[in-house]
Amino acid sequence: MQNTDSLHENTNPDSVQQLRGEIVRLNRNQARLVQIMDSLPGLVGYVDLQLIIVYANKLIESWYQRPRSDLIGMQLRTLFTDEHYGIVEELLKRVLNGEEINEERKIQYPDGHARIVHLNYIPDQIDDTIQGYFFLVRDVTKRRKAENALQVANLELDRRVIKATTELEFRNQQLQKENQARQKSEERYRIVSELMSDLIYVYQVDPDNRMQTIWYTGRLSKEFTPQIQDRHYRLWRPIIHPDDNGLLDERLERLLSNKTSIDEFRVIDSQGSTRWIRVFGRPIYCSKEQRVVQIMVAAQDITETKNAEAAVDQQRSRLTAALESMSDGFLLFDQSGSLVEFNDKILQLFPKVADKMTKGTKFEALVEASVKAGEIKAAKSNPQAWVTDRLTDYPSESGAREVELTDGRWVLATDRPTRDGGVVSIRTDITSRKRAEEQRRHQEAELAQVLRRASMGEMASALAHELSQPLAVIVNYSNGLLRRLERETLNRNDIQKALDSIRNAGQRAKDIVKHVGDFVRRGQPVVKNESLESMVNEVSDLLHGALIRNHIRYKVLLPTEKPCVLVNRIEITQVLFNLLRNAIDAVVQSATLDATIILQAYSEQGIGVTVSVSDNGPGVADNLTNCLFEPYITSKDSGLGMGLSISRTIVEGHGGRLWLDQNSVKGSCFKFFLPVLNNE
Amino acid sequence: MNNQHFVHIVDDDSDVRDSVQFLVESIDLRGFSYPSADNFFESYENHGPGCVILDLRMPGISGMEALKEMHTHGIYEPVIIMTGHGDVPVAVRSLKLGAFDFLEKPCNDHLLIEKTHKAIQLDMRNRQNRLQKVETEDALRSLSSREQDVLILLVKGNSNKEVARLLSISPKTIERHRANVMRKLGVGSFAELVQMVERSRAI
Repeated sequence: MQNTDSLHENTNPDSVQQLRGEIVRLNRNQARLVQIMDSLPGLVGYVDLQLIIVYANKLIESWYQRPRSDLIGMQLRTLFTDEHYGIVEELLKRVLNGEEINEERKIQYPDGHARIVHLNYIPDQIDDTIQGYFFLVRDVTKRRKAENALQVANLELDRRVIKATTELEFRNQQLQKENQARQKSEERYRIVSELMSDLIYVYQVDPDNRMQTIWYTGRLSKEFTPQIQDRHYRLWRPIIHPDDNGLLDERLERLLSNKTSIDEFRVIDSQGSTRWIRVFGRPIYCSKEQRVVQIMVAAQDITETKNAEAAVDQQRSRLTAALESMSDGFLLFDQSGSLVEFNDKILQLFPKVADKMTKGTKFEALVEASVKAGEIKAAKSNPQAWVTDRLTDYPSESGAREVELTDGRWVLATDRPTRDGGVVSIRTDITSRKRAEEQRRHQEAELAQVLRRASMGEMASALAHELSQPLAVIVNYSNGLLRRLERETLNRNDIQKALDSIRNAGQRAKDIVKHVGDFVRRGQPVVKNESLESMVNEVSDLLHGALIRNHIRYKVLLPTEKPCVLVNRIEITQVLFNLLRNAIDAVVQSATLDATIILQAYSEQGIGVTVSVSDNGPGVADNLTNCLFEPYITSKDSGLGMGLSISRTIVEGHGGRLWLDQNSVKGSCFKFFLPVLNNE
Repeated sequence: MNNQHFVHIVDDDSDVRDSVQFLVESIDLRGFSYPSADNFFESYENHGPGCVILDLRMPGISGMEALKEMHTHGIYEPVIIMTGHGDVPVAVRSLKLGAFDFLEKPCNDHLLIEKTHKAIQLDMRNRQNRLQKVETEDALRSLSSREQDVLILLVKGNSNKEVARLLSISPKTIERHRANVMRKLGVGSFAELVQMVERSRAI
């Protein structure tokens, strides 16, 4: 068998090994990519033309509350609720018409969350034919709520998707180049293939280029082989895929002009399925006759390989497209800690170390490079300590770190271990969120400051009023004594009387100051379980002087079970003080006869406490009832008009409410409710 | 000024009331104190020239109302208002209602004494004027009706002759009436006469 021998001469076992290794590597890459996908904070996947989910990452399980095995292969129409389907129906039509979808919708998911989601559908289009679409669904609810920064983020995303698309194109070109390179090594590959071929046959070529099979051996596979008979000519013709007819013509031409031809084409087997065939043709040239006299052909059924390759390629490009569409940067490290995958976004996030982001680099080296480049603000003072600290929680199953960069940007870093011992790192630019948070915190602090100052002002005013009486007494007696001394009209009785009175007034002033001190000084703004009774007593003591002096009847009616409330004591006593002070002012200013103020509390087990402060004064004027709680509204001759405004803010800050009871027949009645209650 | 002058102190806070009394008595004024406006109106007696020191914030009749009712109770002494700290708008309102002045508590004793003195001086002038008015009115009432007619026409600026013609009596008789009026009212010149009539109208 001279011909067969010549085939074996060119075989190369190393190449077989190489090919197998290539396939194993492809499979491993795919597994990694799947892991990245599953670690991503968004829903990523692929849906085909029949609206069936072909692929989705792990997050889908938690959003839809079903195992992924159920969800893959499911029709969207079945999976989505009517409402959900109604929201996206139009988008689905558009994406399957080849339009890229980039929209935000509010959708209720089966896990009970109504999310504002960013829907990013990218049509999968090959030669004007839509195959399906990629989807990227990100929960942007929190971001939406946070601030207008979302707009910026959206713009950024748009930019990213466009960039990702161009990136994809670039990758496709690269892939094509690789294919070309592969074709160049075709010769070597051919020999390998010849060795692996199952069907080998030889044509004899007549001078008029007619051909007939003169020898053949083997079959293609268990399932399929062409019907070959002796002297059969052109055995592929009857079963060739119609589109590949031309290929056979060209091939024949090449072979007859003494050129080796390696071709892949499709045939239809007896079951009607398409199969891929790779054939190697080698002409035998007879120099005497000056023509090709024989053609040796080795054929191989490469359907399985072809399918697997296509699947891996497709999967890979889909995953890459999805990853590149993310607005987050990511890095993947393998078991040995070396960088194996990263996207373009990460380079934009850390421009100063972009050149260090190469496959094989260790995470530690990247951190050190970043610190050295001065990118990390917190690392400025002690770089080494920062690096050490940074590595303590790397990787971390649940931890996330917010890192401030020296150029003012903030990045959220998560480094999660993967099942095979690698690490997936995701970096999100949270600058705008951070800014908004900072601004809000600043505003809150400012507001708190204003409120505190205003309420201190009210307190100071009340204090000054209370103190003016005993101080007047002291000053008057002292001056009276001094003038008697000057005029030498001082007698023992005068001295006795004056000093007694001065001492009493001093004592009175001291009591007032002590109460106010207790009132203001105590504690930090902490929430504790406080007895309602003790707070009421404290405020009653403080206003005792004013009540007595103005001859006001004051009644306190508290529940017998002595309720406790979880409150900030200073704030709630402030509210009680404000309400009582208002009631006192109301009856005093109007010189109400038989002035009476009643402080009453009701508690409802497990619900809360309602406190009411009512007086029998003139009540609240009709024109004030609507704006009563706004700042700077007052019916008093003097006063800031901040009391009720502050009080309402405080009560609402405790999750309660403060209101004017419109049902009170005479005078005014203010009530406030505090939720959550335990008993002493 | 001495203890013939009287300070009426109205304040519901007995300590403050007593202390103000102690202070004014140190400069030889007589102090009377009252726990409420009602009590003041009931027990007020006109001992002589003086003033009232009135606290604004009081139960019952408030200081502001009491201020309005002073004259109906026959009390003409100037009123000094005592207010708490920062009640400036209230103080301004009290001035509009005729208070003499106001003081913030606790007050400077020089200020209290100065204002008290001024108030008492004003009261003395007021009393003097009221007295003169009464005297003038008595004197005017002692004139005969013919003499009163002559006086009114003369003060309006008519000459003796004009008055004579208006009343259809002789200028000589007018001359005599005029001399009688001046004698009865105790004035030395016609100018003095005109002043006196004007003043009695003004009061």
